[in-house]
Amino acid sequence: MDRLSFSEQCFIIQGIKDNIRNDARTRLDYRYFSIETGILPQTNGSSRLRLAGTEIVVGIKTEIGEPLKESPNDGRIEVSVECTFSTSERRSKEVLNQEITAMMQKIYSGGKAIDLTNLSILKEKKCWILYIDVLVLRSDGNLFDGVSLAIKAALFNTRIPKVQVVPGERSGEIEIEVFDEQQSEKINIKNVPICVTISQVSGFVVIDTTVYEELCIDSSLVVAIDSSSNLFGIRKYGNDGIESSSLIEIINLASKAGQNLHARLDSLLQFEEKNRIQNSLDLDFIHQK
Amino acid sequence: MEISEYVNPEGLRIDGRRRKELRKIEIEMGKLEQVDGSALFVEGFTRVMASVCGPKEVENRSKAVEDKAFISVEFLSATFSTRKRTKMSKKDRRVLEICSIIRKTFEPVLQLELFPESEISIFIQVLQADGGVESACINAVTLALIDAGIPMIDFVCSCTGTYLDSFCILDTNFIEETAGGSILIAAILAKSKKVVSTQMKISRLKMENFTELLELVVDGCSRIYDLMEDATRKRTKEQLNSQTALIK
Repeated sequence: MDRLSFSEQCFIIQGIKDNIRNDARTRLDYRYFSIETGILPQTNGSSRLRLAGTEIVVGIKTEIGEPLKESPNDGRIEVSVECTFSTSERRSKEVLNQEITAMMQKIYSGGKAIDLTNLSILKEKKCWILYIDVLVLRSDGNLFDGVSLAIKAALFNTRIPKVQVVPGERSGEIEIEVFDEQQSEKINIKNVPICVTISQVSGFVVIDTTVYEELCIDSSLVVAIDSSSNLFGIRKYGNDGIESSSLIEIINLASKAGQNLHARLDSLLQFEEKNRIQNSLDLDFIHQK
Repeated sequence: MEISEYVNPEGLRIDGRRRKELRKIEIEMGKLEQVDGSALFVEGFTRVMASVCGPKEVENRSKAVEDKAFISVEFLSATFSTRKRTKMSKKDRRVLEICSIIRKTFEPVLQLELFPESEISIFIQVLQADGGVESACINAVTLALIDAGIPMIDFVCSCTGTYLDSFCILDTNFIEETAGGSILIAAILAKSKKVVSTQMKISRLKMENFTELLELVVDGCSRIYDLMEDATRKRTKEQLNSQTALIK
C-alpha cells in the first residue's frame, strides 16, 4: 500500500499529463462526496463523510471548563485527529495524525473561524470547551480536505446547551443551571473554513488526489479558505519547492475550488437538515395517531 | 437520574426489553478493503469495528515465535464513544486488559501452528459504547477472523449478563452495567459449547443465582451464534457469486 513500482508511478504521472486520471477524472475534477449528520446519539454534534473510499467520522462534545489565562473572555476548541489502523503503516500513521491535528487546531481555534466569545459563560471562570474528535476509518487520499469538510458538517449539526449562572448557596460560589435540550443553540458556521489541497505532479496541478496519486506527488499545498475567500492558513508538504509566481496562481485556484466545495457542502447540509425535520415531523404524526 | 427499579412489575426493563431479550444486532462483514478481514458488529447503541491483517511477517522481530503465529491486538476507543468524553492512552489499564482478554480468548481457537514465525494482527475500534463492549469486541473479532480466512476450530460467541434486583438480565446496556450488580461476561465455542473465557465483576452472588445467570448468558451466546452464522453464510455466498461471475 505504501509503495508503488516505478512503472505504476509512470502510468499515473502519464495519465495526469494527458489530463485523464485512473478514475477517468480530469486534473481539476473533485470526487463525489456524501454527508450524514447527527449519527452519534451520545455527542452534541456528529457527521460522517464519504469521499470515494475515504470515510471520516467526527464527534463533537461540549464540556464546561475553565478558560485560558491569556483569553479569559473566550471559550476553547480542542481538535484531535486519529487515523485508524487500515489507513497506512504504524509509524507514518503517527506522523499523519500529528500533522492533521496541528493544521486543524490552528485553523479552528484561532477565534476567527468560530466566534469564541459566544462560548464564554462567565468571564475568567467558566466557558464551554468544544472537543472536536475526528476518526479516519478508511483512507482513499485527500485527508486534509475530507477532515475539514467533515468538521464543518459536524459543527453545523452541533447544539450547545443553554445555561444560566446563578449564585450558589455560599457566598462567592456559583452554580450553573442547564436548560433542557430544546433550548440549545446552534453555532454560526458562516466563517468556518475548509481545506483545499492542491498538488503538483511534474509541473501539473491536480486536486483531490487518491492514495496512489499521493505517492507520485512532488509537492502539495494545503490552503484553508472560507466561503468568502478569506485565507485561514497555508501549509506546504512534499519534497519539491513551489515557484513563488505559481504560488499565487495555486492559491487562486484553491479559492475557486473552495467556493464550489463550500456551496456543495452547504446545499448537502441544508438537504440533510430538511430531511431530519421531515423525519421528526413524521414521528410526531405517529404519536398523534 | 435516579432509577428505582431496573425491571418493572410487568417484567420490562428501562429500555423496554424483557429480561431475556437481546438488543437488535446488525452485522456487516468485509467493509474495509485495505485489510484482509473486517467486521462491524452493532448491538443496540454499541458499535464495534474489528479488522484483521495477516498472517504476515512479524513487524517486531523480537516478538516472533518459532513454532506458531503471534497474535498482536490493538484496541482503540473513540473519545466520543462514551457518554462522558474520555481519552484512553494505549497503555491505559483498561486497554491492556481488553487486549489480553482478546489474545487469551483467541489463542486456543486459532490454528496458529500452521503459520510459524508470522503475525496475525487484530485491530479493534469502538465507535459507540453502550454496555457489553467486551462481548461485542469478541464477536466482531471472530467475524473479522473468519472474513480474513484464518483457520479456526470454532466460532467464539460472547454475551454479557447481570444479576440485578434479584433478576437475571441478558445483554446489559450502559445503565444496567453500571448499576452495581454482578456482571458476567462469557465467551463460548458455539459447536462444542465449551466456555473459553469468563470474567466476572462481582458484588457477592449466591451459587444458585450464578448457575441461573451462567445458563442465561450461554443461551444468549448461542442465539448470537445463529445470527453470526447467518451473516457468515451470506458473506461467503456473496463472495462465491462474485467469483463465479468473474469466471463466466
